[in-house]
Amino acid sequence: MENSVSSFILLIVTVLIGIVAIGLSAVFASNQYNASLIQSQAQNIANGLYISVSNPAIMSNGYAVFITVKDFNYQGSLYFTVFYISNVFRNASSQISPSLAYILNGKIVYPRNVKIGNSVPPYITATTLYYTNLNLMYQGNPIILWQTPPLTSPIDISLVLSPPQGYSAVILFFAQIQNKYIEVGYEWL
Amino acid sequence: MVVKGISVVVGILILLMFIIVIAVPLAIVILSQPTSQEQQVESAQPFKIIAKNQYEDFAPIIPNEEGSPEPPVEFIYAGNRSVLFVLNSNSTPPYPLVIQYLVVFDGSSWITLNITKNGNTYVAEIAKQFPTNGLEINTYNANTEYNGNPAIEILLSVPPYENQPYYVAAVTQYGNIIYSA
Repeated sequence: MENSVSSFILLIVTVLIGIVAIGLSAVFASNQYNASLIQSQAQNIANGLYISVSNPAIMSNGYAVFITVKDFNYQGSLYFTVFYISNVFRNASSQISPSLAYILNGKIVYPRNVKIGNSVPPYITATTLYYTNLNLMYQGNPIILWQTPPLTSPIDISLVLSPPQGYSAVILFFAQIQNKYIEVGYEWL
Repeated sequence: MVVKGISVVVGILILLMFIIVIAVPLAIVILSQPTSQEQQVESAQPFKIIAKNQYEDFAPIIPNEEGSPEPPVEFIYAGNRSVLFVLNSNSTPPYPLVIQYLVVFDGSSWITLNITKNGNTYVAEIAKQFPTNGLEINTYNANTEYNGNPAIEILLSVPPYENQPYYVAAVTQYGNIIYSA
């Protein structure tokens, strides 16, 4: 009699442990599923992104360029930031991040006259940015993200660059998916 | 002893059924994600190829009367605030060409100019907002002639810096940048 009671308890405990294990793995799997959903959305936008950069117009205090942006898979608006990075990082193997940005007096130096179709675009600040694979790209002081209008037709971003000696400008594009800012492309200017 | 052994086995079997019923369908859903994603990657590719091919409209590929190659479309800054799209083949360009807006360097920055039609003349004025309507480059929209070929003339409200043609650019419906010559 005692034997059957103890084996019954054993059975209940085994089932309970099984339910808990499945519950935990289900929570983990749904997180994973959500992450892969965000990632595939970001990758989709990244794959459709088509960027062209104009010839530089040289001036006494820098040079003016414009960048046209079109996305064949996405018609919403994107976010972008522009800063200067040392030419040392200008090769395919290095990952670009605002943590490498040129800093003067403790602040990131941005280009002048950032305009989209002649008007100053709205901007927000972000403290956390992600790569397309959802790895952390940047976390720290707020960084400016300018917002583009909806990409129903190609837009042009006009700006004036004056990089310090040995530095080049880089523009990074982000999509906002579930309140995360995820990189969808970049271009050296 | 024998009864106890069977009960544990039954418990494990129940556990196994839980895994099969819940975990396996979930895993299938997750693993099927990359397939649909790859499909979308492919869907963008043909558009990018068309977008790149559009540059051929401006590449010298058709022979003219003297036998030397000419581009189907020429983008010319004629001076005096006037730009011309000349249709050398006397027909619509091989790749559909819509000029969304013009971009002119005025000495301090690149300025976006929106193209509007005013009677029979096209005027490029400082754009206030996006999206711009754009102008399709075809013989139907031609309003003048250049060396016997149909052409579209657009008058710029902002002249390029030092009247240099390379400070006048046109942006197409795909975002390609074309410079005037």
